[in-house]
Amino acid sequence: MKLARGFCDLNISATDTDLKKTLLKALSLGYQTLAVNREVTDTFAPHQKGKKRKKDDFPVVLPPPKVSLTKEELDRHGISREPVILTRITITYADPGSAFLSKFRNNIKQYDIVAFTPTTDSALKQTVSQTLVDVDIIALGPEERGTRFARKLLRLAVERNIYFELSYGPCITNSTRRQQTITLAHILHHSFRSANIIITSQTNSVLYHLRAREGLSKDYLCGVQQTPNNLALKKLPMPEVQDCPYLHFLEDRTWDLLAVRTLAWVPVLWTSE
Amino acid sequence: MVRFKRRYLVVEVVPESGYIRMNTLHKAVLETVKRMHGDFGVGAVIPGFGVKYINPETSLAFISTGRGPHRLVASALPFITEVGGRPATVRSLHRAASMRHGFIFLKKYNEEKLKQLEEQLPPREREQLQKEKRKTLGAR
Repeated sequence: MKLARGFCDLNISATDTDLKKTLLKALSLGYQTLAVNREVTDTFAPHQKGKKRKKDDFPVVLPPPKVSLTKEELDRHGISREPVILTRITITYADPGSAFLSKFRNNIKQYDIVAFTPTTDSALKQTVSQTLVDVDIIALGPEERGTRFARKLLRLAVERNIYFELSYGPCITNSTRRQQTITLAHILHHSFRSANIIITSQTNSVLYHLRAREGLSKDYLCGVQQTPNNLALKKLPMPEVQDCPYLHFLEDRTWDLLAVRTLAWVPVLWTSE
Repeated sequence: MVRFKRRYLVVEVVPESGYIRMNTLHKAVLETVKRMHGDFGVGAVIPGFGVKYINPETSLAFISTGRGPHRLVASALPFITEVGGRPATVRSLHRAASMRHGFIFLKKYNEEKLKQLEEQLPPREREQLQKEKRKTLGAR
């Protein structure tokens, strides 16, 4: 079982043509734990329930990609700390009645981190309450569903130690995604005070990867002031035992954490009201 | 986490000509918030934002926003110069915590406006208006 160390970025795209280059660049920016993400989309919509699903209608879940970095490659990029490379799968689906999860359960379990992107309320309900697969992260996409999420379900997810993901990569280039991410951050703050949130890059380009210690600049993307965020990071409680072992952190390095429970998305500008 | 609180801004939209519609006002406010406060402003304002009520005769409208981001909307309203492609100005009249309080303010405001208009009328017409008022509302 691999344990996370140092700064983490839990979403590096696996479809990148030069995945090794992106990983080495991320490691040289100060990250120590990276998760290579593979996306799978179940396109079967709930309104097609009457239709019988053929074998070809199910998306293919490939086994986790294997990436190894040699010592020479690490030395060439000035990386002294031993990296931890994890594998992650992100499943996007809409129909909770789909047999997709039970069919590919064994393949999904081979991944270190399992993330879901439910695109309907019923899919979100199933993600939070199902026991077939252990869910680590929920990556909500407001662009697909608007801004309405059942707060009860979000709070239930927090109680089950499921984390919510906010990605800064798409915000850098796309104005609409920037607005949507900020909206999502506000919704998550209203629902459960930004308790279980991780920030990831979701980038497949070396250009848009921010330095690991630029955590505060990621918060500036959302207009959060620096000082309260510093306090928030220093006051972070010791991480409780998670279902996912890869979200454990070293006790003496709490200041070093980026993929953590963060209060950085609090809209500080109006907390005085 | 406790309830999601809102603020309702009572505004007067004064177009150069014609009537204002809810969706055009909605779009105009968001565009101005984007201009003044950028993507962060729009992202912060969207949860809970909407034009809840509009009276085309008096040009009064209720804009609802979340508590907190309502300051961004309120600060952007004076900078609205166009609504639905037509020149217009927006004046903030009141900030209410609920629709009910907004309507209480609106009732008082409309009564004061009516009083002012009454005083401008010639005496004969004023008397006639007061007679009709007594007839509909009853003696006070």
